[in-house]
Amino acid sequence: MDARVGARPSALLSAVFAILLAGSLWLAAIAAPPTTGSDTGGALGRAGFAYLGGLRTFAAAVLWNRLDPIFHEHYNGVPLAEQRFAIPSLHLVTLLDPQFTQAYYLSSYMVGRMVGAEQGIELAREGVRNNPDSGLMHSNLAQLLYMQDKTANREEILEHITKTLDEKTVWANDDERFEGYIITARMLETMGFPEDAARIDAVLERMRQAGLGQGDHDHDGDGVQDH
Amino acid sequence: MRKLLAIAQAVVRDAVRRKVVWVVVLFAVLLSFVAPSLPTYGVGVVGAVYREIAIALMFAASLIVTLALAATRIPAEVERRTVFNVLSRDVRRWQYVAGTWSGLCGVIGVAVLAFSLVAGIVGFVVYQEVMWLLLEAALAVWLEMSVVAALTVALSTRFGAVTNSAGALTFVFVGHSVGVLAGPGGSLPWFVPTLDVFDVISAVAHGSGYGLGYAAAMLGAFVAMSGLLLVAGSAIFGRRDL
Repeated sequence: MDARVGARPSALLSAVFAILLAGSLWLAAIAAPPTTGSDTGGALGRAGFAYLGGLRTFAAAVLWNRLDPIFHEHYNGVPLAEQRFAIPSLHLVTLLDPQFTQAYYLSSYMVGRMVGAEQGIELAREGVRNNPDSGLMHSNLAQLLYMQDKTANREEILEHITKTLDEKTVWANDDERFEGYIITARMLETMGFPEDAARIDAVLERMRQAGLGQGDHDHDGDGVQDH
Repeated sequence: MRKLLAIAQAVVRDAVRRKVVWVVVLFAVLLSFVAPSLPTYGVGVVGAVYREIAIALMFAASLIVTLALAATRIPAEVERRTVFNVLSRDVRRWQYVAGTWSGLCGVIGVAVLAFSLVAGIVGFVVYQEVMWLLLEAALAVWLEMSVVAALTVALSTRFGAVTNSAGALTFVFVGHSVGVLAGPGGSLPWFVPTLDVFDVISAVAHGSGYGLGYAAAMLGAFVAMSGLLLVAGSAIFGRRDL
């Protein structure tokens, strides 16, 4: 008994299936709803490098990357303080990777607005404890304390502003430093330190001339800001 | 066709005997505990997050069912020599491979439907919301798991259970992360086949699901991918000296 499948029928079937696959992929590309697999695939790809840093870091990166397209597609236009869906994922990111400062930055603000200022500040303090050299964490905590009560929290605000401006402070990139300095300058201005605020504004002006300050909203990597 | 159906029915009976239903029970228990246990700082778990978790658990549970059944079926039959009972009845080898896969698809489909019903009931009890969209996710999960089953069956025509499982897991991982090849933008050309065509978690959990056009695209991709893998598996099995 010839147990082999005929070569010609196999080749013909394979060709038919290949054509069907191509047609299906084309249809999927034009009919895809927002935030479908292509975004996930890209997100997993971008997180792929983190796999080398350990499974926990990889899992945190995957969770974070899944949030990004959801923010910008399904919840576009919804204020950050109303996006409750993100809180569990953000908390899991910080549990998996306590050095993921962006997650602390977002979640402390959102919790502060949704639950209470004290809870948001506590989360920001945790971010500082886990990342004592991070400029983002110090500027974030200073801002939340300022929003709660700039008079009662004056001493602590100034302490964290000092650390924000310290040269040894670490930032993810120059854009992050720029954003942190802007917030710091405005806080100093309203707390009675106009000269210090002016010095920071001068630094910011030099940074603007160097092309900084536009933020990074080029999510598809084509060199053009998406929003 | 009758031979295919007979083989498929045998696969289903075998799956029932192996008590695959316990995976459904485990899934239900997990779901009941996981969603409310999420750390939320007191904000609570919104329905969208619950749907996302339910679909992710559905995916993981159905992957376990798929691997448990597909990776061992043919190697066990060949080792116990029971495959000869089937092949001796004028059943072509490609019919055996296709029939086995068909039976697996049936079992996976029932399991996925059960998962989605459990998730829907829990969702209704907790959120007082009828989550019909979970059925859309169930369809996508079933189609993807059927493709994974096709790959696993194709591998099992040549290799043992461990290799088949490892190969299937690699296939799932690569199929969902091939975007790394696309560079910083993370956007592959449309004609590159990936398993992401079946990933509708975000659209179902946070959006309004997908339309008929996309459903047709998923169905076409499922038929094409499964067909290619089964043709390869049939060719390998046909050349194998049993």
